[in-house]
Amino acid sequence: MSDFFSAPQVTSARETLQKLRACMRSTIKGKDNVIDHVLTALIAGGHVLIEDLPGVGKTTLAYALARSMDCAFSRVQFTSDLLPSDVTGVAIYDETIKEFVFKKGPVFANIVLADEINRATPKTQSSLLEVMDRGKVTVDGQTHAVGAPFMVFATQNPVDYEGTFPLPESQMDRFLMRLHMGYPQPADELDILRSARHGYDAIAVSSVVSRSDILQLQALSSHVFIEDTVLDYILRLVAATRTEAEFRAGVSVRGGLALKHAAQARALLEGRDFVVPEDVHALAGPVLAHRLTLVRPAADGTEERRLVAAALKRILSAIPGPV
Amino acid sequence: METLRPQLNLTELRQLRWLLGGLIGLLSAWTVFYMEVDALVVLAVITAVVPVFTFFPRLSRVLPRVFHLLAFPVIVVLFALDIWSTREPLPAMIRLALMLLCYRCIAPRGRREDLQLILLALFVVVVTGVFTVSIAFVAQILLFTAASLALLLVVTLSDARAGGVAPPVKEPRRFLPQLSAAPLPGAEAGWERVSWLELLGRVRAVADVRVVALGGALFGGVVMLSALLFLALPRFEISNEFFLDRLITKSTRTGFSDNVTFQDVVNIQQDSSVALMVDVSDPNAVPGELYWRMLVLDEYSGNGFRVSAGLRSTFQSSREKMHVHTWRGLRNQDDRTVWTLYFQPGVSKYLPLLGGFSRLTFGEPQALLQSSSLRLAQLPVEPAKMVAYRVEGMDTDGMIRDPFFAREGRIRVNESRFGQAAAERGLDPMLDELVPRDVTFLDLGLERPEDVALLQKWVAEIGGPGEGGGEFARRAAAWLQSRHAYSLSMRLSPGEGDPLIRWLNSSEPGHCELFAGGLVMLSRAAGIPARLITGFKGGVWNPVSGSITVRNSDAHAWAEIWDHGLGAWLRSDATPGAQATPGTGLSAGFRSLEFDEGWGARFDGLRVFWYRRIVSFDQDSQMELLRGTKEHIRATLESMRVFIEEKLRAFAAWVRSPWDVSRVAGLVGGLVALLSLVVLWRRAGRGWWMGWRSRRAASHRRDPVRIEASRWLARLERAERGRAGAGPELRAQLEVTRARLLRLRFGAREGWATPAVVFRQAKSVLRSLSRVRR
Repeated sequence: MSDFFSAPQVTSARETLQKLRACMRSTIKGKDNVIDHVLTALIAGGHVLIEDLPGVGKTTLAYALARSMDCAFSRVQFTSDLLPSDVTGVAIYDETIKEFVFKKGPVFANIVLADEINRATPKTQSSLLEVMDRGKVTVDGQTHAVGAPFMVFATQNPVDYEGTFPLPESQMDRFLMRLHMGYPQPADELDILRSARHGYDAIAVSSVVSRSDILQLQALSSHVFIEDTVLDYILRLVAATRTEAEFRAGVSVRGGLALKHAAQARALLEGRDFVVPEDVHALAGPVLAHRLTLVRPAADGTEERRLVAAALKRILSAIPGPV
Repeated sequence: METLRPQLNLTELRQLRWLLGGLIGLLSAWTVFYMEVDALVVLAVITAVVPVFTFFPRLSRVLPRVFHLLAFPVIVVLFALDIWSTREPLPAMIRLALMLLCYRCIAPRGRREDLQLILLALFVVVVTGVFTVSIAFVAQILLFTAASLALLLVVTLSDARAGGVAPPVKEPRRFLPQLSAAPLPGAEAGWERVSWLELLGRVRAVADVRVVALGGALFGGVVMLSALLFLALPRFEISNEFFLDRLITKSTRTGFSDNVTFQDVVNIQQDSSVALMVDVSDPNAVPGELYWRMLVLDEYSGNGFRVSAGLRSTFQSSREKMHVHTWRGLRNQDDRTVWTLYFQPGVSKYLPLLGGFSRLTFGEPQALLQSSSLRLAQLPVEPAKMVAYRVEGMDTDGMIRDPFFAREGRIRVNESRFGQAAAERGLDPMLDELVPRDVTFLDLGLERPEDVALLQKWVAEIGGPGEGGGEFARRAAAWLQSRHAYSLSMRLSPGEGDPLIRWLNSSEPGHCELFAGGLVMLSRAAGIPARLITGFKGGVWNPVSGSITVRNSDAHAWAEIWDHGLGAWLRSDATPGAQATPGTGLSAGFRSLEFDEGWGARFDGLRVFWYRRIVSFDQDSQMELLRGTKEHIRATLESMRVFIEEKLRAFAAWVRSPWDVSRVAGLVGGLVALLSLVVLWRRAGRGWWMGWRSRRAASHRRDPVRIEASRWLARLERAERGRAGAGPELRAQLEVTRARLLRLRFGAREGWATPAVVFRQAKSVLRSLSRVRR
């Protein structure tokens, strides 16, 4: 496939995404920006870490996405005694056929919600590494492909740190974006209060797009055109994080690639077959911030996130995008 | 916002600052090479250290804190010691400036330090400019000016990029913590890690050809204007005006002095640098043998010759500095050839001359000591810079006529006092100044009678004095050449006695001084007055500038023998290979000289061109040049005016001529064709041209369509700002146009609409926007 695709393809992609977007917006009130980011991550084939307080709609968001596109959804509640096999699956000896049979874990779904991921031990956390990277699970030497599309929604509580295991940097690097839900606006919250009757399982969402549509979008996204100066802009942003004295280490090459893929996906979401600097600028925060750590430790996680965001903002203002 | 052209970030600007600073330091320091200042050690250190620190900026951080603490006090102490030991303030100040430059180039710099560096460099460059007149210096100062302007621009840009907060680097003590503690975003940390190739590539990428061309044109214009002003301004000698020449008194490495010991001239020959450049008004008047006389030495001292006190007293000083000095003796009025000599510093205070002259003009007013009897001229002190002088009516035949000596004949001059003799004999009072006192043209200066006896024996072998000194000199030279070969080294057989006599008594090879000294001694032993001359022999013809170049390696010694019959001193060169024949100095023209080819000759030629421009012997040449320039401009304007008038007249005649249908049809057809061409160009041609260039563009950055789209996007954004009153229809148009422009700017080529159409649309929207009130 060339780096250019026809206008009907663009139109079709835009229509598909608008349907998906509208469906999710009808379910999740007042979080248009977060929904757009989630859709961007979905098209880019990435995973999302949602960091926010409990009860702001993280699970509902993941569930609504899965339902909107008729995908298998599973939820794993991460706890300190959770084992890797509880996530990936385990081979069990079947008496009837006299051999080991692989029993798939919850990771074998299209949308996996890893709730409170930082409560599990690093060993269990890292069981997600392979599947997030390659969409495959290897158990007892046998590799099993998970669903396609595949997306991990991980959540973690930024305030409550008792009994948690912070995600290692390598794990953080696997997430395309880190998002914050935040409280809804009063009007939106009133609407939620009026309409919500049961838990998220009861949310009536009919699928508006098929899995194959999503896979097509993902394939299309990687062919969205990026002009040299926009690539150079990404490169300069990434390089600036590496020379910024406040950061212990800059963004990795994977981080730069992630920003590029996310920008391509956003362009498609906006109905364009080419990336503009605005795409990069808008996504730099969600895509890069969680990959950066400060040299000087901050008082707490919230403070650290604020300082990283401030430094990133300075870099974004110091490095103008091309026009 | 950023236009399509990328910009240098703060890190790159700092790297560029560092590079330019090092470049300026080196350029200014190297100008000192043109001066006779003892600063070779500092210059060597700068040449070795500054490029390394410039190339590896990280080294500046490696310097220990104690280095920064001690640097300034140590430099001050060195300066104080320098002043105390040499008592020469200006050279010491130049060395001080060089030391400070060196420190500034290798220590970390902020804005203030960059400006200090420029000032220090400017001081060195200006001082060098005052004392040297070299074309290479002109090239250096042009480079220095360009680099300084670039550095100032980069300093301003980096300050602006840093939000107007330049990192202060006040004191070394505070410097290091400051740099590492409060870095500017994306800039400070690790800016010393430079990939110069990458940086230069970036500079090339960000350099806007139009801005560079405009800047270059402005710089060129200013240089041209300065050159015109330089040509128009009257010349004056700063060192003369402010007595600065006394501040630099370093003597030359090699050079002629009034006490020449054997091997001195040979030492000068080791130096191949240019000693003298000569312009001749009539190249065909160049004599076949060029002997540039500088010094006459009469007193033999056992290990060489020197100028006796009596001979030295013949130099008469002019009381004041003058442009023109005239000869007080005989004048060669018939010869109209003008010789212009550019005498390099560090050679001697004695001016090279072919013989007597009628008029000597300096480029700048100079005091001059002349010896009419010796046909020599000398400056009061050795010049620290190039001295230009023009000689008219110069004798070139190698015969120094001397009326007084002709009267005295072979009488030992030091036995008489011409003051009395002149009064007794009623000589012309003008010749009073020609009286040689205590000159020893016949003194052998030998202590051992055996040596004198040997000389007498050799004179007998040669065949006695004969008739006239010239004839004896020829025989004596042949006798010397039959016994000795030429060599640059001097070998003496062991034994007692005078070294020159020992050499004459041997068959060892020798150099020019020994041959000349031997001839002088033999002549004196034969009772013929003789003296030793030092100076230069020959020179090469530079076809580039049409001038003669004489190098220090042309240094030579020869003899002058008194010929009573001719009443003149005859040049006699006994050195093997020399063709000098006393009394022959026929004009052979410049073609008889060896031609100097190659790059060195071109550079020397450029120097002569430069000297011709900067040295003004009178206002005439300057006025002539200005008149020429003015005339050229006037002629160009006049020819343009004539051309336009002719065309207008032709057009008027064409209009006035009778009109008929065919003419009208032709005119209309022509206009329609022209209009069609314009429309075609605007509709299709321009777009095709841009598309063709776009397809051939090496990268997206150089794609003219993307560049044009970038401009239109910026214009639309500016126009849209503050125009909230634009109607919905216009807003819709704007959005559509913007989307199309964005596609041209950032999209794949395959998806582009026709660029020319989109740009026309953008132009239309822009016009509509401009009609909307803010």
